[in-house]
Amino acid sequence: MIELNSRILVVDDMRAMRRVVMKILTELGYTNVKEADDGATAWVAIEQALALNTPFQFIISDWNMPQLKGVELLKKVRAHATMKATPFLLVTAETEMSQVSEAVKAGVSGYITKPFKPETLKEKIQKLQVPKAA
Amino acid sequence: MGAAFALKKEKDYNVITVDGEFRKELIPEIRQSVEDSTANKECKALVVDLSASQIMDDSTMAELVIGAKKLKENGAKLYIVKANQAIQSKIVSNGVNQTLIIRKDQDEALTDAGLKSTPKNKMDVTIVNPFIEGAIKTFKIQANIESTAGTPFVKGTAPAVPADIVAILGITSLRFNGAIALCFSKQLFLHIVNTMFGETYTDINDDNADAAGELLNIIFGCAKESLNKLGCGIQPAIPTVIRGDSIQTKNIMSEPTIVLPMTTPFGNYEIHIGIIKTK
Repeated sequence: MIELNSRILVVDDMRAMRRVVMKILTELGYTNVKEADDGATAWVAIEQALALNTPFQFIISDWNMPQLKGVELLKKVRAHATMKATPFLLVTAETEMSQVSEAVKAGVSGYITKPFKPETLKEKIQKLQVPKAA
Repeated sequence: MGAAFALKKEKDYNVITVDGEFRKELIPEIRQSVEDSTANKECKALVVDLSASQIMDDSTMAELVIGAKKLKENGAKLYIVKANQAIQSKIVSNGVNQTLIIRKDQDEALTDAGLKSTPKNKMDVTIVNPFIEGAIKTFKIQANIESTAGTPFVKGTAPAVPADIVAILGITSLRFNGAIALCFSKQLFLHIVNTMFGETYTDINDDNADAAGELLNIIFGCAKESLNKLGCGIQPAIPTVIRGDSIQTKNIMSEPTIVLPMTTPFGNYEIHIGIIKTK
């Protein structure tokens, strides 16, 4: 389970979906949540957080975004020594097996497909395995 | 006892039917059917009707792939029609669905091969239905709203819902290109965003408008999954949102736009689909 005081980043080019996810996180008791509107801006936020020695401890990202896709952001995160074990949940409308496989190969921690009920996302977050290094 | 195999030869296409399982014992007949089809220079399609088969084994599928490649060299295609879900999934999961082209039935295969024309304005339910199913599922799960599909019509032949917010998305695929629009009245849209966000908005604004795009994005994702299992090869796309008072949407493609009217207890919405087939 992700600790309630964890630093969380929510990434989606659609403000509506960021709000849906952030509402669920708030209901679960998470308060330290930031948002980014694309994989590219998310990566900037991740680098800034690393520079301040306050890396994000959990990332929830959309897949299909205009500049940097969620799976590409995942690959960048996994390639970073400090962030490589950070729990990363993809929330996406992409449901095809080839895409699920790509995400698994890239090291995704969890995968949830849209549309989803709030309970489904809550359950996924609560079941996420958090490595000690994160 | 082996399955009964038959090859029906027409002027410009051939049809294989099998009364039983599609197993390796049929390989000699399949090979002969491919040879007969390639020998006829006018033959543009070999249609394999699997309506009576529950299983297609690996060897038989491999033989069909070899046959499809030979047919392709002669400008013909191999179609799998009336296959059950297990056989379709096997073809897709083995990555040969661009070679063994899955179509619902013989008519659809012959239309795809250019041997049979689709009457103008005729609705292609294979394309339209996944969008209806996607919309019903999306509204139910994401916004807790039950939708009911009305009778689809061609734009301009019935009154449309006045739209206050419209999300639109371009579709690019191997079989067709087009656009899809999701049109809401203000009343229904505000009910949806208030349910999704737990807010009490009284107007459409910058804070809530892109929910229309996200709903369309999810509907598109559901439909894309279904259609790509049929080999449509639809590419991902990102929606755009337009808002204003009583937006008038014209035909969104050069072909007539199909309007899918949807009703909910909180107001109605419409899905507009314009398609130009490329194959």
